[in-house]
Amino acid sequence: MAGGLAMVPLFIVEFEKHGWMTGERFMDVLSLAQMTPGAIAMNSATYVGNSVAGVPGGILATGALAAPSVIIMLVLSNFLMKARDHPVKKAVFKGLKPVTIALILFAGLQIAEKTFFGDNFTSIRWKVIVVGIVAGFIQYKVKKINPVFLIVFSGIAGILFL
Amino acid sequence: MFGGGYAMIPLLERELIDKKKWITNDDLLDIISFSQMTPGTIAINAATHIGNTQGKAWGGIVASLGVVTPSLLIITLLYYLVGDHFESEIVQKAFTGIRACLVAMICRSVYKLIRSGMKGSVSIIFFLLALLSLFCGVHPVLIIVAGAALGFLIWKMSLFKL
Repeated sequence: MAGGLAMVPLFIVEFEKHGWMTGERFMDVLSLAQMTPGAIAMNSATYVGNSVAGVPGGILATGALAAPSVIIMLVLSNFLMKARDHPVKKAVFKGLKPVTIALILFAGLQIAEKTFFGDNFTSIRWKVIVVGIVAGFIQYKVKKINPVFLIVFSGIAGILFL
Repeated sequence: MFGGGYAMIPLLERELIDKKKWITNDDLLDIISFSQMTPGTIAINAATHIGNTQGKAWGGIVASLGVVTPSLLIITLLYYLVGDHFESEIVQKAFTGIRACLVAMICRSVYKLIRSGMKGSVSIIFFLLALLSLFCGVHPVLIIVAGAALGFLIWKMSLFKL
């Protein structure tokens, strides 16, 4: 969800109106959703749904979030398949690709900044950097390693060494 | 920021490109670019699109369920396990380790995507300009639109002879 966090103030107004969750609590949920792999919007929907109405609430909230994008994407997908080799599509995507890669790199850099450094670069968290380097080295050496395994390994390493 | 979904890219690469060979690196970049512009998360959009190409609309629906379900289970489980205690030290440490690993994984994805998706000096200029704009705080959606428009002008209209 590009710019998904732009929706946060809107969420908070709605949550407080319905008495589901305070804004402060939702900030905690967001940080949890941001820390866990997977989409922030989906994770926080599941979490808020659970806290408001238990497991059915979690399922309903997640489904309600996913359904519109699935429907929209089904329509766009057919269009994308038909236009696959169309010159206009090719030109537009040629322009989009480098931009997209820049966005991904930037997201990575933002995570790196929050993870490896203290507030506003006041401190360097060396131990965390070492965990990152080790994880990078493992995936470089073991090309076929399952990313899920690497994530679990890093979580355990975090508990043990940080 | 909206980093969450990008954590899925290494997983998508491994399953869809390396193992199942359903799509190429180039296709994945198409899907990510596309997902930037549509509401919804990259993972759901990618699943819906690839499911649709492999097995029509039902394929798309089943594939997106396949993406949503694990996320739903993990967060629901986390809600009842960790509940209000995710500020606890041990959880924070595990998440910090995982984020360090994510940085390494995103770097690798970016490297792979650069190798497959960026050909020619214009692409590199696009990439650097996009990155610079992000650092200057330009809204990502604006950068995406600019990339698409410039791509159209340069490669379709041959506005500039390059």
